[in-house]
Order: sequence, then structure tokens, then C-alpha cells
Amino acid sequence: MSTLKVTNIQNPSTSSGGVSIDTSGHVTVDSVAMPSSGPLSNRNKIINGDMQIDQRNGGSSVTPGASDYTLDRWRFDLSQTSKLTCQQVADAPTGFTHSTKITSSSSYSVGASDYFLYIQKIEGYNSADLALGTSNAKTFTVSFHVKSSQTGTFCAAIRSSSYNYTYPATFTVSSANTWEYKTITIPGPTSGTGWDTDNSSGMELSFTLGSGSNFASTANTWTASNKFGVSGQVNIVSTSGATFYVTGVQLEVGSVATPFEHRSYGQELALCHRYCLVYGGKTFTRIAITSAYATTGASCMIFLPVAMRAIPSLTSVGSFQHELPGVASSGITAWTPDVNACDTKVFKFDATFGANGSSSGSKSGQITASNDANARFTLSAEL
Amino acid sequence: MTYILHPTYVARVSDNTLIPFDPNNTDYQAYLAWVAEGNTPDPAPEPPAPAELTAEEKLAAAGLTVAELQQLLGLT
Repeated sequence: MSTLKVTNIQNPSTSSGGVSIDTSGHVTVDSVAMPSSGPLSNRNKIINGDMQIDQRNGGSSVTPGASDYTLDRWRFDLSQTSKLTCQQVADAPTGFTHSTKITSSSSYSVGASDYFLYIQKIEGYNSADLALGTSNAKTFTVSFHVKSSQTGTFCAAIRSSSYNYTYPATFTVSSANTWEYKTITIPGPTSGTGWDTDNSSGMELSFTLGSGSNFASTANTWTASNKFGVSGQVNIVSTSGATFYVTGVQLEVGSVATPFEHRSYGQELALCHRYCLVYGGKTFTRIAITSAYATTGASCMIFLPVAMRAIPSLTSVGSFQHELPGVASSGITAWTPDVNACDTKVFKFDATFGANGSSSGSKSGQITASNDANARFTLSAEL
Repeated sequence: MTYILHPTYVARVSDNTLIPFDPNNTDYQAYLAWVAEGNTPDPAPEPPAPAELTAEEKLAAAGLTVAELQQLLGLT
């Protein structure tokens, strides 16, 4: 046995491409980095990292509340509301179709205790292999494409779910309004709590859109407190009209950023459905099958397309109706979740409606949106 | 933040979200934290008494016609 020690392997007729091996032993094949650790598929622990899916808002701009989810799996953590807007847009670097666009609504002076974070919480089942908080914690790498009207030093951060162990990492936006690719390699944390390995939050990645001095720390090192900013960073919310776009977000085991893992749309949507399901968006959308037990009430059932993370909360906007064969439909006046009959695969609830035309006797029917394209029936089991 | 406590769920008033009593549901966790801070949810309103059905509605609910009931009772 012997070892061939070279740094490059190329065809004699080429001057680039081929195989390269750097001083750490990491391999690049035809300019594409190969994984330094972990599997060759299902590498990306971020869901909807390419910002394709926006069940809640369908590409509309929104002013998020303090802890609102916007694009699927992405949420805000805000100390002040109405300082920014968020929208899924078709502005993206080559190889992507969508990004998240965040726009500052004012020139807000960030106070010491202020924070403006765009976050994805990663379920513990999906981060468990990183062995976070143990002596065997694995190095991982975050990569993403970013574009901003502002240049300078920005901050992203990793936090445990108990916020007692954090890693504020910096990256530089060099050119205004230009897509740039960034990578950040982070040594696995060997301490801290809240690195859950079940269906709770195992870790979170955040982009800091603004934060006060209470949350500033030394960049690119773990700290045993809740820090997600650095002194002198760009605060997007401090410049009216400033923009921050991000897409192609990947978090993977190892010290190398491999190409973004483009999962199929169906796969990505199914992954999102574990946390949020939105029915509606067109008139008379079918939502649930029912069994009418009275002239004004029915037992309703939705067989969920994937097992949700937890029994979901229900939020409805707009008008809905109960339909029975051969009788006029009746407008829904109330929902009553039946938690004792729910699990993560079936959502069971009662619907109350007007007596107009309905009848009792355990007749099968259905819940639909009314003639209301804006009606939304949302089940959320987010982290 | 205000909540209304119902027998089988809790309603978050701000966005009318209905939250199941599931310890894994983060909305429920937030509600429990809110209660732990010393807050108290509003009680659910008493459900309205069910409307008294007319004799005709009772018959319809039973799937009977007047003629069928008369025959059943031997009144034909």
C-alpha cells in the first residue's frame, strides 16, 4: 500500500476542473465541494431554504407580528412590530426562483434591548445527529445567498432552544443590491442546554436584522448567554427602505459548504406540512368530511397528509359552510377542536352552523370554503 | 394578550386561534407560560340553549312522515 500525495488531478489538455484536495484534505470535483462529513443526501437541515413555499401569504407582503411565521418554516422574533415587512419574491440568484425580501419600514433607532430576528427553528429529531451540547458535537456549516441595499458587517446566529448558548457569526455584504454567496463554518457546541433531540426545537438559525447592545457579543465564538449580534453590525431596521434578501439557506454537518440541496417541490411541501397546513385560496375548497349529528352541528375529520409535529392549533379566516347532499348549505358559526379525538395524523373537530336546510341523523357531508377565495383554514404545529 | 378557556381548547383572542391542550403545541406552551405569569383566561360564554324543535322538525329528524307516524300508532 502506498499513498499518492497530490493537490490536483487534471486531464493533460485542461487547465481547470478535475479533482482538487486542499490542505485540510477536503475534496473538490470540477469546482464542486464534496461533503467532508455526513450523508450524501438529505444534508440540508433547513426546510424551505430556497423560499419556494409560502402557504400563509402566497407571495403577498405582510407586516409580521412579534413572533409570526411568514414563509413556511420561517418566523420573526421582534421586540417592536411595524418596523419591517416581509414578502416572498421572484428575485433570486441563478439556480433559484424565490427569495425572502425584508424591507425596513422606518429609520428606527435600535434600543439596547431591541431585537429583530428572522429565524428557522430546527426540530430536534432533525438536529440530533449533530450531538449538540455534548463532547461529540459535530462541526456544521451554514451557507446562503444574500442581497442587501446596505453593505458592511451583518450577523447570523445559532441558538439553543433555551437561549443560553449562542454563536453570533458575522458575514460581509460587499456590494449593494448584488447577490453574494456566504458560508459560515461553526464548531459544534459542547455545552449549553436546550439542544433537544425530540419533536421540540433542537436549535435555531437566525439572521439579525437589528439588535441592541444587550445582545452584542464577540463574533464567531460560542457564548453562554443570549447573544445574536456584534457591535457595529448593520441594522436593516435603522434605514427606511433598506432591503435584505436571502435564499438558498443550507445548514449541514461538516466543515464544507456543499451545493444547495434542491429537493423536489413535493418533498419540500411535505416537509412544510409537518408544521403547517393551509386549506383555502379558492372558492368552495374542500376541507373536511363530516357527519351531521344535529340540525346545527357536525363532527368533522381531516386526515392529515403527513404526521404533524404536534396536535395543531386552528385558525380560520373568511367564511365556510357545511354541505349535505340534497339540501342547502349552512354557514359555519363556530369550530370546536376535539383534542381527545385528535392526534398528529387526524384532526377532529365539531362545526356549528345555521339550521338552514341541514338535517340530523348522522348524514355524511363536508366542510368547504364558502364563495370566498380569501377563506383560509390553517392548522399550525410550528415550533 | 387575552385567552378564553373552553372545555376542550383555549382560544387566543388576538387572532381567534383555537389551541388544543397538547403539551407539544407551542401555542399551548405560550398559553401556559402566560398563566404562569399570573394571568387568568376569560371563561367561555355559556352555550345558547338549543332551540325547541317543532313537532314537524322532530318528525323530520326521525325520518318520518305524518302518514307513517299515524300508521305506526294505528290511527289510520
